[in-house]
Amino acid sequence: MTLAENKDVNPIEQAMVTQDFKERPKHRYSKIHVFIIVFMAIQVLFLLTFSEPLSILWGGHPLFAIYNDNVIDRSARLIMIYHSLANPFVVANTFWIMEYYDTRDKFIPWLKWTMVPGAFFSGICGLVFAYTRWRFFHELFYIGLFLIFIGGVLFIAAVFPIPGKFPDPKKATKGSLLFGLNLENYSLVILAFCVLVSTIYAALAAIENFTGGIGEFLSQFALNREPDAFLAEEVVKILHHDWVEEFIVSHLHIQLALSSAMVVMIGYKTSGIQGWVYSIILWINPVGLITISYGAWVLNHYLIWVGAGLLIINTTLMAIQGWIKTSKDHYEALGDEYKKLSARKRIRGIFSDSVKFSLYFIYLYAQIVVTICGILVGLKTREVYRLHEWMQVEYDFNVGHWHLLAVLIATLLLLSAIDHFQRRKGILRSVAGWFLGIGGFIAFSGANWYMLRNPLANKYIPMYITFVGVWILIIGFAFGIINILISYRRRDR
Amino acid sequence: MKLNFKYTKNDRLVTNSFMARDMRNNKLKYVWLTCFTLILSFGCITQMSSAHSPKFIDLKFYLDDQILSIYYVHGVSNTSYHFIQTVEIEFFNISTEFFDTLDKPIDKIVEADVLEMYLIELVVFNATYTEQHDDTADTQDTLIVHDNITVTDYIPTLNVTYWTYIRVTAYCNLGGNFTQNALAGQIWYDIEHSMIEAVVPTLVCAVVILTPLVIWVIIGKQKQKREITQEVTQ
Repeated sequence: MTLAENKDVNPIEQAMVTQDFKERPKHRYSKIHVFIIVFMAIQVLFLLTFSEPLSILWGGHPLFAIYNDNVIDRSARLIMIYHSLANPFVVANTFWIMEYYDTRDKFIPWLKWTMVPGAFFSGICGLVFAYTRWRFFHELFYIGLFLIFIGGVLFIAAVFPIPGKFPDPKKATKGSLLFGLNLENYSLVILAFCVLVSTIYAALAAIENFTGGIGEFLSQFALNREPDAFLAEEVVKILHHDWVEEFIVSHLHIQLALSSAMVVMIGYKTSGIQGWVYSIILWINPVGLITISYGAWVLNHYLIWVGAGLLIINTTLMAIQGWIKTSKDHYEALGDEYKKLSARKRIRGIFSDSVKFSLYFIYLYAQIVVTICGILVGLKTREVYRLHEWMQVEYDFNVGHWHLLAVLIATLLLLSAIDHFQRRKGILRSVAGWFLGIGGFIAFSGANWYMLRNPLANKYIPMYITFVGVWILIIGFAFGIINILISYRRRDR
Repeated sequence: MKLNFKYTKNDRLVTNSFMARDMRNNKLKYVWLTCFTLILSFGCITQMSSAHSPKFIDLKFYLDDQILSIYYVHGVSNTSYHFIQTVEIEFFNISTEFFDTLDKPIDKIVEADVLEMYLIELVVFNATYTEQHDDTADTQDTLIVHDNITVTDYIPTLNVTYWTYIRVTAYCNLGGNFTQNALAGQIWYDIEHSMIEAVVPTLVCAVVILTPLVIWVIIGKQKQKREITQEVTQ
């Protein structure tokens, strides 16, 4: 008879004996998560003042008269704006990965010291430069990028797996070990490496475009370009790209795909996937990552699709497992009786938690609205989309495709954050989950209809459907952020 | 068991001094980071972009209607302040020499094959604008502008025939320009690719990534075997 079972023992002592002692993590990232979420929410609030779905409510023009093309070219401004949003997002993603995956303790302060200031420097200064063209802020923006890059290098060192030693094999998820080697961290190293190579691509292109610096050192790469900021979608139809254009198109292609891969890797942990299925996923994952990245580096669409196809398998397996876990968690009290439940009841369990349902639903829906549609358009590009009559539609697709993916992964990350901070089911959590799920479904479907339309078809119907979806999404985002802040404060107390 | 923790005045002083040192170190870190950032920011010198050129032009000539359809990619924020002001449209005949020197089927000709030296100028005219079309319901229209130019409106006698070489240059009112060429009745195609191109690189990627894992599996299995043999001998 154990001490806990002994009825003679004082109940308080008994409770103390049976209490589970969970090891508290040495490093916590809650504050960083919350700060970056709030920071990005403020940025998005500003972007909403000129975003099309919202500006239509007040006459179709930006709310503030600060858009002067003589100060800064429109393309240059947009590039700065989305970099100021993308950099904090990548940093947020990295800290979410660190939340779930093992990182060497000694590197964590360094990672915080480089990446957090990097996110804020690039986020704030990039945005200021975008509207003022004050040079000083552009250089500070560069410093931000540099700090994040250093953080990326440190991240590789921090997660580099040593078989049998790091990460601790005793704490490894079932199916993640290969003779002591942690396959999760192996994937993380490959992922970080690909991200860094892609940023180097962009840096080289920017240096040559604006300074001609690469050509000065290596004459075979000299282009003597006019220093002109351009968006990837603006130059995609040029038949003979120079290497700067190729690098920029490549950078846009892959950077967002890799950010998505980071969000998918967070999903591996939240979905609770393990065992032999997880082993398969972890074998496929690095191959998919390197194939899609290499495809983007050499601008070979077919290779990108093979890589994306491999990652589709992983995401689908993960999302289905996530739904199964949601259902099991709902009927947790039943224990082994769960297996005896009817399929209808099990399916009902999936809907029991709006946040988890929406999270895994969007993971799955992303495969249709982003990956598969992207591949279909790619297959028809030469014969259909590149035709003169399809010019506007192709441009809209090129813009819409990455906008959709960006909003989608932001929604996924917010849903994961809500689930992380607010574990208990409550009205606010439930409302946020449904709004994000339903809003996402309407917005992403409408956007796809808009992007895949016939050039002669009416584009306003799918456009307004997308707007309605975006409005619902915005409400979901607001509820989600409030939920996170309340939970964080409660936990802090 | 009773646990007694007693702090003496000295202990507290020592703790306080450690905390103060930590705080000082933290402050120093901030100071160093700020200095480093400021020095680097003044040190970085990049050229400021100032051009506003249209980024792309897509052309098609409809022979039956004698209409030149032009799409300009030129994103602007204020369509009456920033717009494509002048469009120069040039028509050329291609000399017979070009076809004589051609060593491939006529439908396989790509843009790069038609060199300046084979062009004989036929006619040039300009179209001018005072703003860019704007549709407030869809701001996309300030990105891409479409224009149909009926050539007979400019030069009534002009009859553009198959194989006429067309060159369009669009000038932005704030500076910068972009030129695009087309052949009447012809399309410039991208180079055709096929799925086969993905096979070898995918295999290479898979081999590069999986080789360390496969080697590790082999080593692991040998190690396991050795351990079992050792256990058996023991």
